[in-house]
Amino acid sequence: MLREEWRLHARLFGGWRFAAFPVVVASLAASAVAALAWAGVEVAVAIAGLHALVFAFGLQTGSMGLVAQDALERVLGEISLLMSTWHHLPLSRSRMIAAFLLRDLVFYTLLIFLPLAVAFVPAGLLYEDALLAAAPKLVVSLPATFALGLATTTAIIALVQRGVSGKLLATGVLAAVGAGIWMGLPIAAASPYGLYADPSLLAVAGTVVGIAITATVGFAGLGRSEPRPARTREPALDALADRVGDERGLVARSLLELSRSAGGLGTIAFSATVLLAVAGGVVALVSQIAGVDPQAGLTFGPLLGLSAFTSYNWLTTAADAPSYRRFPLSIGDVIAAKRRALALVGLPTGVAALLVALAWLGTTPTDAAFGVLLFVGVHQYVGGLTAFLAGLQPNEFLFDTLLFTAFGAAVLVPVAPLLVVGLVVPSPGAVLLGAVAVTALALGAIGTVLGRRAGPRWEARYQRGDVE
Amino acid sequence: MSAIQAEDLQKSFGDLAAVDGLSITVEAGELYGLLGPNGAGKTTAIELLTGQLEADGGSASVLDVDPSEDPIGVRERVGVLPEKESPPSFLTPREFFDFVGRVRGIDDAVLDRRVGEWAGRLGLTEHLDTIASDCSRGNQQKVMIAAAFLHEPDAVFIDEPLANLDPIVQERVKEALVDYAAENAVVLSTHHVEVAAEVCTTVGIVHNGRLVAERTPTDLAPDRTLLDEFLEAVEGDHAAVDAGAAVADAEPDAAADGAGGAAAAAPQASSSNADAPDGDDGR
Repeated sequence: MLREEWRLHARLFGGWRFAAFPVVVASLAASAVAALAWAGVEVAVAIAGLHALVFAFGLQTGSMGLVAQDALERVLGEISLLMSTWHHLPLSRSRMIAAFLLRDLVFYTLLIFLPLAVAFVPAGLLYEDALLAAAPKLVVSLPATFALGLATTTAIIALVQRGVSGKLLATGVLAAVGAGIWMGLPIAAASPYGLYADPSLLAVAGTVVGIAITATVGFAGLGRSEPRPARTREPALDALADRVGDERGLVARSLLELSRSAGGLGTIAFSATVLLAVAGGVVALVSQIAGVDPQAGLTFGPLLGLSAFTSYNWLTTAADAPSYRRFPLSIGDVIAAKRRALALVGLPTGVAALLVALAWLGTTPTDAAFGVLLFVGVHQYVGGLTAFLAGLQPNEFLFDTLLFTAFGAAVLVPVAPLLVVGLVVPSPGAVLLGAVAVTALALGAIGTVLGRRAGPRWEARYQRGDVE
Repeated sequence: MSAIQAEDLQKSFGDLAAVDGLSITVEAGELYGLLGPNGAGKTTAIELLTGQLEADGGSASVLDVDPSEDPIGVRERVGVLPEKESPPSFLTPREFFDFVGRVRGIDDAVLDRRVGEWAGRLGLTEHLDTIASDCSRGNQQKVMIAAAFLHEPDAVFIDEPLANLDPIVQERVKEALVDYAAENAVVLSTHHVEVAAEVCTTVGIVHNGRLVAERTPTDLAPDRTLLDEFLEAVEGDHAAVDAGAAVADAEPDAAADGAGGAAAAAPQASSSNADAPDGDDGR
């Protein structure tokens, strides 16, 4: 699988564009660490935040186990030759899914976590010995944190798929962990974060046991292959298409494919929840560092808007561009339908998550309104940008150094200033709020234009045979 | 004008000339076989003729539409059965047919009638509401076959239609193709010589992206089979390619100006000419 993955990405992007990815990650991260060190941010706080982000990333990536599961279910898998031919191999489903996710762990470690750890070295040499000392510990703690997130998601998915008893068990375990943290039990010390903060037997044992238990539950649950009758469904496409005013059925097809894939519409909510958790972590971190209470709406809105990338990814997972090209349809037609489906599922989910967060944290009606406006603007922008850069294959450009850099910069340039406003301006005035509103509207407009231009751009590529 | 015409069609992927000067003519009422080994260029030829790929050179006309100029217009008018494709995993066959009906603007009542006819003919009726990923490979192939014909196009491009089908359904599909070709143009891509011999009115033998021979199965010499013709054409093409390479090595100038090389040394193709590769997968 590792060889397959390498060849896949090297073929997609060219070897050097793939190989350069960790260098770019290390460079960006080194700049960020140096900036934090220069600003006098406490090392422990920054690294705790980094672990929280990596854990959230692991949770998010674990949901790709659903893709692995679908790949096993499909007769014609396209994600991986090994995944699609497992029926003929003397391997269990559990083992194949475990191998699929283990491959992700190894790749992410080499491409992201090792570069992240290395990124602490320059700032350590320049500013603070503690940063230098952190690097070797992060080499272990970051991949372990990611692995725990990955395994946790697979365990939750596996339990939830077991019906009511599984859902109750998952809820109970999560509640117990939450209660433990609330009661002050040394949960963090017994987690992979403990491998960095206080390398001890407790940290090692907690990490190993935690990952082992969650991974075992996840892989065993997702890997259970019980003979089942062929699933049947009453025809739903026509009714759904009529309901959403979709004359050619493209939006309805996308929504049905999403809702019937493993995880269903829950994948959209899950992605929003992970971003919500990240946003919460960022807000807490900034409050601690700057001693300022951030504007929750102005902070959560743009961060949740980033969920457009993952939602678009889920909507295109089942999309096979050539399958549309047998019909009198352009790639632009398909992308437009995907974006409309994105608006139908992504916007309500994001707004709901945002309102829940704002109700929980408490904020002013003005901040809430501007938060919603920013969410919609950024969501529209990121959706259009993703479609423009990645067409119908957003999951495949993650490790294309050039595209990743372009995407990262195109997101960072408008979103970072918005976050600064939300995080450090205690009470934005009318002028600033007006600028925020104009920015949100402009981002929405730019996203719309990019989304419209994505079609002709990708149509030309398919016509030339540059992509299959 | 002929239903399908290609003249010196060319398409390369990097250094690979997948289609290298294909010229064919298919009339309404003809079942034209593109016969060739794996990787000969058949699939790429179909993708060029149906506007899924843009040609690097040459010209084509399908039902009076130029696929390079109006790819969507071509696909409105033709049916396509791709070689490597299954119906959408999470839709049922009936839903997929509903999708096809919407995309192609088929009236609901007409669609229902045609779906019923094709499902009955292919033995698909009891699987119409089964999620496609839970259907057998054979039933998935039946769905794809039916989907290519639902709008009753004047021209159909069929790529290896018999894959995964049981012998009974294979016979039904062959009968359906022959019936359909009585009034329409059908292009059948296959590497099964016996299938081409049985159903095609004309067979173009494709190798290395070029049309190396064209034969009429019913008009072969008494002691010759289509397999004989196929082997001779393909093996002759191998020899021609080798000879062409030797000429190119010895006479670089002649090869460079197009007078030498494989094309000039290739065996005489019949009527329409000579060379079409196909990309079933050259790429």
